[in-house]
Amino acid sequence: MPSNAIKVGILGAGAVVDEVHAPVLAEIPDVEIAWLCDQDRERAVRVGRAWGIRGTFDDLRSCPDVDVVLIAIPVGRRREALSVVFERGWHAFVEKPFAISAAEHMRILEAAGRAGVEVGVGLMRRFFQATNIAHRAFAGEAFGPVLEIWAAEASWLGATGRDGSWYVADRAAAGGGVLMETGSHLVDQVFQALEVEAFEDLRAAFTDAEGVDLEARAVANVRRRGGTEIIPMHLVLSRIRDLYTGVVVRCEHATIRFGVAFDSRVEVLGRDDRPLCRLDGPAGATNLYQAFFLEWLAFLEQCRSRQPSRVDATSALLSTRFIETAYRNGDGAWQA
Amino acid sequence: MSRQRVAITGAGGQVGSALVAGLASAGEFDVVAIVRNAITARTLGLATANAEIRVGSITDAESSRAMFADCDAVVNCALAKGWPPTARRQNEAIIGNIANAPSVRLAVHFSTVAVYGLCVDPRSVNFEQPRPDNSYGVDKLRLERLATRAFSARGIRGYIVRMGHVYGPSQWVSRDVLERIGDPSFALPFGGEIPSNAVSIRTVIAAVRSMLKQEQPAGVRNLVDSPQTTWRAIYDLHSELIGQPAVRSLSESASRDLRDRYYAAGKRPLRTIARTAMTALGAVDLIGVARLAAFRHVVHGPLLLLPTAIGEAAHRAYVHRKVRSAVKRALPSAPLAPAVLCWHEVRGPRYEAVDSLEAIAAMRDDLRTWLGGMSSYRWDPAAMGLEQRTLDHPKRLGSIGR
Repeated sequence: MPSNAIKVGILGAGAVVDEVHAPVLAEIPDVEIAWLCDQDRERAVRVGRAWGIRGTFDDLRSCPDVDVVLIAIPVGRRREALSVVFERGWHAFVEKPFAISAAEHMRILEAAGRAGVEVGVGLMRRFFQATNIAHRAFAGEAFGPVLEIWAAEASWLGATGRDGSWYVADRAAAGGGVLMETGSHLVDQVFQALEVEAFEDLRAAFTDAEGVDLEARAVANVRRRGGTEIIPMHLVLSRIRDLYTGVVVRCEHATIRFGVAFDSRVEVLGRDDRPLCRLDGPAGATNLYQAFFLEWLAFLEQCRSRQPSRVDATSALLSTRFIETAYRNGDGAWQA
Repeated sequence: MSRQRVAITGAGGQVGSALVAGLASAGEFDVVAIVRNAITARTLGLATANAEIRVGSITDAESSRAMFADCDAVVNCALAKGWPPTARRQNEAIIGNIANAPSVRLAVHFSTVAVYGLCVDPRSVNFEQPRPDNSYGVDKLRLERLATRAFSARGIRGYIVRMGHVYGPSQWVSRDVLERIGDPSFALPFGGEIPSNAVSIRTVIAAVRSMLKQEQPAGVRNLVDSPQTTWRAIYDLHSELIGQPAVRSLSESASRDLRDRYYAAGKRPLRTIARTAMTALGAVDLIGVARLAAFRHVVHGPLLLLPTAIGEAAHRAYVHRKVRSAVKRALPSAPLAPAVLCWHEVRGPRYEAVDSLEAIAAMRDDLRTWLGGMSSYRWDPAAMGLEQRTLDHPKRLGSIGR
């Protein structure tokens, strides 16, 4: 590894690090994973050994200096860690969801600003080919003005393979339920593809158990960048039932559908909602590794150039606001 | 006599959750649903009112004693996945822990018809001598033999169920069929007129109920629709329920070509992958692909760098993952393809619990409702707990969302 390699530290040795971040980082030229820190030292050692990471720690304060830190611990447990990261002057790439509330989102941005470091957010769907193609089609108004948006990601939870320590069951750690965990991806994907810059009249209803929403339903009016039209948006996220999953955008001249998976296509639907053709377009990730790879390249370039990239954390503020407002306006108990 | 207390492991999964609901609603058994984490417990709790839900590990001996305590029977739908050696140990532990549960007198263990191979040559494979051609089938065959021995040693009445692909509401076969029905380019190989190894979830529930009541002979048996159905019948059922025309049939020659390619892929996976890759490379814009940084680093880079960059174990895991992914891409179609492409008449003794046509008739309404929800992107805000709003006049947005 050259001496001018970018040193990256990883906080959290969970599945997303073991299965995606670590192998992807290991393949980026001139990047060295300096250490892996997890409160479960044994897990840190196991994951570290698998990916050739020599330094493993269970306390962030004892970690040596690096250039960038990946924050891959649950959103509800990051406050102290982020303050350490900023104190040490490390850039932070933060896994989604970025924050539980807009106020917290802003606090993080301001703290990073005071420390003079960059902050990025891990929302890899922004790099999916389908998201890119949809974005280009809507930006060019290829199918006329957008009239209506339907977005859903709803599937029976099924076999998770996760044991009792899974943070998703803990509202305080996860920051919410399915809306926070999955909705942070879906809302952001819609906002990115359609360049949504504002919303209002957001109403939400939840089905929850012990404070964790297992289903979230929301309707809102949104407005696209530079536009004046009010566009109704319908959103469903569910772990308790199977529903149509994907994003459907009704435009004046056609209906466009794209999926939430990395290999999904963008399709033009006919009046009977059956697909007529598929759209091809700009390059983008068609597998998960590529998506994570591209988001890392974007963030490392942001750290180098000090110019906002596609993963700059400011760009996720609207979706943080949307999710917070849904919880606040909904019928579930809100705890910021 | 008190009612039989039946534990269902893997109760959060597709088959497990359907069994919990089906057995609990009948009111004949006290159903104990065993899941691994609280979020699955809550999800299951919302869907099923009449079952006790226990959260814990069944791979750990001590925890499993608490999970199976006071249960007379266990239906094992659990299957640990992940890194093969770890998953294997966990699956063996589950069987051992069921067998060692003091109160358990009867156990149902789900195996699979994949033990006969994904593409069966009926001349060389039979019920007594299954020959799995895939890692899933190999593992399941080993586990069913382990379960047979373990249950027998402990005097437990054991049912080993070689189950076909399950269709019905929330089942993956139905998801797959629905997706294909919506794909205008899809056509059924051989017109779908080959026997399927599918089984409706209603049949599964009826069969397990019958096993728990000891109406079935113990031992290893197949569980598929009886009378055995065809893929055409299953596709037509789904098409009809959502008001879509029947899917087209692929020509005989194209079907044979697909099937032969699949057979070849199964027999010579590496050569087939290489050939498919070379064919594909001839058809793509190589310069365009090479320009993609992601391609260079994510696809090309690892192959060159991994052996020296990281340890052997990681290399093995990575290559395993990549090859598995490459196999999927190289195959002529998605996972259902082998069964649709190949003659797969399941021979040998079967669990005969219910006429499959009756079972299909009984689940038509549920399946129609589920398919309707899955195939329409529109939902009714009022029906989903949200008031209907007037959206027909433009207005300025406030500042809340800016």
